[in-house]
Amino acid sequence: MSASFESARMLRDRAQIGARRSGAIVVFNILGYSLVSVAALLCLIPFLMVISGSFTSDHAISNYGYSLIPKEFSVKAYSILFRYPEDILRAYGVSIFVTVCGTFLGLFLVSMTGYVLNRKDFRYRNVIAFFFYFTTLFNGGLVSYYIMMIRYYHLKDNLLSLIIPGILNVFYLIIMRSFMSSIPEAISESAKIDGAGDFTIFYKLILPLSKPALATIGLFIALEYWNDWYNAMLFITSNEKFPLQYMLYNMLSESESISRISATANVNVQDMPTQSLKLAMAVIATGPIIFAYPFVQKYFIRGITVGAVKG
Amino acid sequence: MRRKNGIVLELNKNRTLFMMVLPAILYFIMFAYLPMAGILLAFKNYQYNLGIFGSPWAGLDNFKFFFTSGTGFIVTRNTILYNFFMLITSHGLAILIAVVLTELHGKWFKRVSQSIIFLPYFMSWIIVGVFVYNLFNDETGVLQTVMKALHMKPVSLYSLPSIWKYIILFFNSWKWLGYNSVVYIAAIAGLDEECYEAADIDGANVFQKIRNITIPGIMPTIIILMLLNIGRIMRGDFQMFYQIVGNNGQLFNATDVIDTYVFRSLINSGDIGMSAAAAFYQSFLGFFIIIFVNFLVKKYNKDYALF
Amino acid sequence: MKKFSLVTMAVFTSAALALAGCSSSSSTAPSGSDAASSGSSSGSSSSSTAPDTSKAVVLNMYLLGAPGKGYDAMLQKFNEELKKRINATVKVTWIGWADYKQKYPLVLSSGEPIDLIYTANWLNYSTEAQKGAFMPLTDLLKKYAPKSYAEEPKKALDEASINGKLYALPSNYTYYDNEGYIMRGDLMQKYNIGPITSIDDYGKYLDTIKQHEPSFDPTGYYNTANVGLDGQFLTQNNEKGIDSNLPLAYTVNDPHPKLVNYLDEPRWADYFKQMKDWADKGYWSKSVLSNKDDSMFDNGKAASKIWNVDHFNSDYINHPEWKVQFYPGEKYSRLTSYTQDAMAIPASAKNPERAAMMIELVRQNEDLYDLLTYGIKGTDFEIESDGTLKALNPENFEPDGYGAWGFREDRFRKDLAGSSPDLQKVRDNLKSLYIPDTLHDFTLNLDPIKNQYAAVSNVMQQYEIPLRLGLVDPVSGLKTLQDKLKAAGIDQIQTEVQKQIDAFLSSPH
Repeated sequence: MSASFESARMLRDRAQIGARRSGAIVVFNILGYSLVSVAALLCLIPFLMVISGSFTSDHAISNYGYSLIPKEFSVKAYSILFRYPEDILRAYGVSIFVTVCGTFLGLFLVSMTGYVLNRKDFRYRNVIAFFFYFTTLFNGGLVSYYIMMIRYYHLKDNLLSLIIPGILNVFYLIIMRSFMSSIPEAISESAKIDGAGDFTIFYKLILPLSKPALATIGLFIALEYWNDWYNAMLFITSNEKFPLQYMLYNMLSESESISRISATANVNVQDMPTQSLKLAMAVIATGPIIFAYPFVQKYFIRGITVGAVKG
Repeated sequence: MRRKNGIVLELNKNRTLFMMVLPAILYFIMFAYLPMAGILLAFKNYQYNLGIFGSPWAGLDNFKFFFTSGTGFIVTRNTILYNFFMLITSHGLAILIAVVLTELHGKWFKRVSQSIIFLPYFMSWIIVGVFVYNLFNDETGVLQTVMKALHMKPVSLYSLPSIWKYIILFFNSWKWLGYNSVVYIAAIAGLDEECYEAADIDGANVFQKIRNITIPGIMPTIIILMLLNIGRIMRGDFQMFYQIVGNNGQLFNATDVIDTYVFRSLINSGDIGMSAAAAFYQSFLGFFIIIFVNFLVKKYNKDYALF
Repeated sequence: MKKFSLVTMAVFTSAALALAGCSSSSSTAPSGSDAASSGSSSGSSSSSTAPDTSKAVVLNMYLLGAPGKGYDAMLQKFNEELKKRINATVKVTWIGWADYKQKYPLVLSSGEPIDLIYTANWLNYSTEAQKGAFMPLTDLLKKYAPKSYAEEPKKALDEASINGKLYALPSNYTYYDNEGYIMRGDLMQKYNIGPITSIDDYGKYLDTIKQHEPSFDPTGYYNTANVGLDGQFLTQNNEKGIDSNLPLAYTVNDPHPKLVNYLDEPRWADYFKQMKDWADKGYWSKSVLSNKDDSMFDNGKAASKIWNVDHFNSDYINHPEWKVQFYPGEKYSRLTSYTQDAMAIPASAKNPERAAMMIELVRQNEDLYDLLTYGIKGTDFEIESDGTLKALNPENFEPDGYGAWGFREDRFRKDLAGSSPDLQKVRDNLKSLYIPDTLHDFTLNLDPIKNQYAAVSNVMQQYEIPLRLGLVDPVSGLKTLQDKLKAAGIDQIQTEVQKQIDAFLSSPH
């Protein structure tokens, strides 16, 4: 009697909890899906306008602004960008090379350093962390940096000048350290007792456990390399070493300034579609990285870390 | 003596760890600390042919322009306030999106929407600037057109400086939403799945799980990102302000930050010493702010501190 | 420092080992500057009469812009000639339009070895020279570029001299400048509008466009520092601004110019009221200060624009059907600065003699001049029967497009085919409007007032531009502007600049 009463109450409780839970899920799903959908639309529509605008004549952009469907279809911007297809392809090559090298090296250095900074038994970790962090607060400015790079390290017109500046970013280092702090310390300690060296622990145990962190930081580093034109502007002087972004940037500002500055030069200014050029540039430069993103995404699923720990 | 022994002992004990961190130390010495000689330029009257060390001293002369007519204080306040509110809005939204996305179940929906939310990151501020103009300009702007169609009295946003705070906050959050949310999504991905399973067994609903597991779980990440951004609180995102506001003097009182003000003041003279002075001022203030905040965080929980 | 850098390099190799696998192709040091460094040293010290060119050198030349595909072929031909004549070749490094404002001073300030560099007043020639960027040239030019030095107008040499020293050889090019009204001739005909001779005439045209052609933006204004009619208005009583960022002016041909803060003149209060009226009538957008579209006229969206003769001519060439017209907007014409284009030899140059010899060659030899400026004859350009120049493949090589402006010689200059038939008439008219400027050679030394200057130019941007475009109340806006200018130190600037002017006038020049 009392037993059946007991189980009946449990059943009722469970049903209530279940109802509460499914009620909560419905509310959550409605709110959640609508929130994400609105955010996604706000992000998607402008991008579609950029694509559409890149296929619109400058005359129409100037007169009617951006729109979702091209008002006056034109491929002039692309035909200017691809006037010398081998240049664009080479610039793609430089960008990919720099991005791949920089990302792998950077990821390795960032995770290795981040791991050490997270080791509680490493006494000077906070001093070193401060030593790194200090460089984000104070810097010598462009002139001295330029002098060092050009006159002392002789990195002018050298692809290393594109790779080196982004290879160790203090912010990523600290985020990496913070990610790694969620990995149980017991893992390192037990491996140490088994006689594994620190580097082996990092390489064989910690790295595989840090996949979401590596994916995130790797993505950030890669994006930074891919989007960088500034270092190329400073250090690269020969055309064949221009990365994509700098080449595009240069083309654009050239078309914008040529009419302004060389006016006194008695130049026959060509009709440059500066507006649609801007947009076509964005499309061309965005393309590859958009395709890369889904590959990174698969590491963002909850549970892979724990699965790895158990395995 | 004892201390020195301590260092030697420590290095000996953790030799491998030290070797692992050495490349980074050398890197920062070479590419950050050695170029710091340039800080001297803030106090020098730089002559190209005399070099950084050989140029004559200028005392605090290079700093004066910043405080002439009191504009320096206004733009300092603007910079701090903008960065503070941007930190809250952009990271608040990113956390919200990250938490919601990970709890939704449609796999396809999650992936696609996450990719789409990342798109604005790829749009340069130049393009965003054109968008803003297309939305809000007085003749053909979308806003004006809609208001006219609704028979409302059109408002000229360009003569309402105070509204631009919100416009800037909005576009900043919008552009960084996908990027920032990735960190939080990754942090959630790193949380212990067993906690969620246990919570399921205990009958916790989705809101309770978020409140009691997810948020505390990503708290260290949230705090670290807050700290990192507070370290940058004296630096305005020049491109963003410059491309959205441009040289529109009507809006400056509400939108000027240190970086845009210095850029505008020095664009004609290109004075290296004066721009070094402004940068030093930003670093100096930022340094004390972050030391103070880090100290507070350390008191609260040692593990959350930056250093 | 040398030893130091070796140590750091050695340390760095440990970090670079990892990199080497990735970038074997890119780790070679740049060779150009090293090869160039073997040339002879200081110019004025050598005393032999014939220049010694026995040793081959590579001249490191920096120019502004980005060349077309055809540039390399031209440069190869140019280098063959150069090799034959002065045993040198030139290696050109480009500073692109993208960030020349930042990169140009950076390159100079870093002291990297450069033999020859383009410079100009709009690249802050005088400030850079005062900071020790360039080599003093007088002796060098007298010896290695005697003809070009002798032929250079005295005014040009005076203008390029800073504290008595010449740091660049300006182009030998006389140009009468006047920011005028560039108009759609077809629209003027359609509405029977006569020549524009005053600001009010221009206003009538704008009004007609506003009434009858609503799809046009009457003025085509967009956000630049010189948007609006300030310049045109200022010159009405022969005044001239001392600097584009300061509201200080003097009477242009007054032998003893006195600076005034022109904003204090009552006529400016009226002008601002008139501009408010024009803005309210919609002659330009209320959001003009955020409009970055600088090509509204070129795209057929604007009915006029305010710019110089060269813009007029290129618009005419691009759109003959618009019958583009030009009317002087300023009451008098100015002789543009000779330092608008110049070549300088940086203080860091390794081969200053050969650089000077190259200047002489280009400026004395029409074939070499044409080659460097217009490209290869027959491939890139040809000369029409009327003496105008026709570009054959401007995508490949745009005549006069690639930074050779610093060598410009008036006698070698060629007009483009397809130019407006009125071009010469317009130029002659501008020449007849010329008034000599007492302070043409005066160089402002900003150093003693650099703080106030920075603050004032900022105030002008923030408060003056909205006022001149009628976007704020003309009375209270002017009051605010004047108060802010006072606080920023306009009075100190005025006193200091007047002092500099007086010193300039009393010194022989």
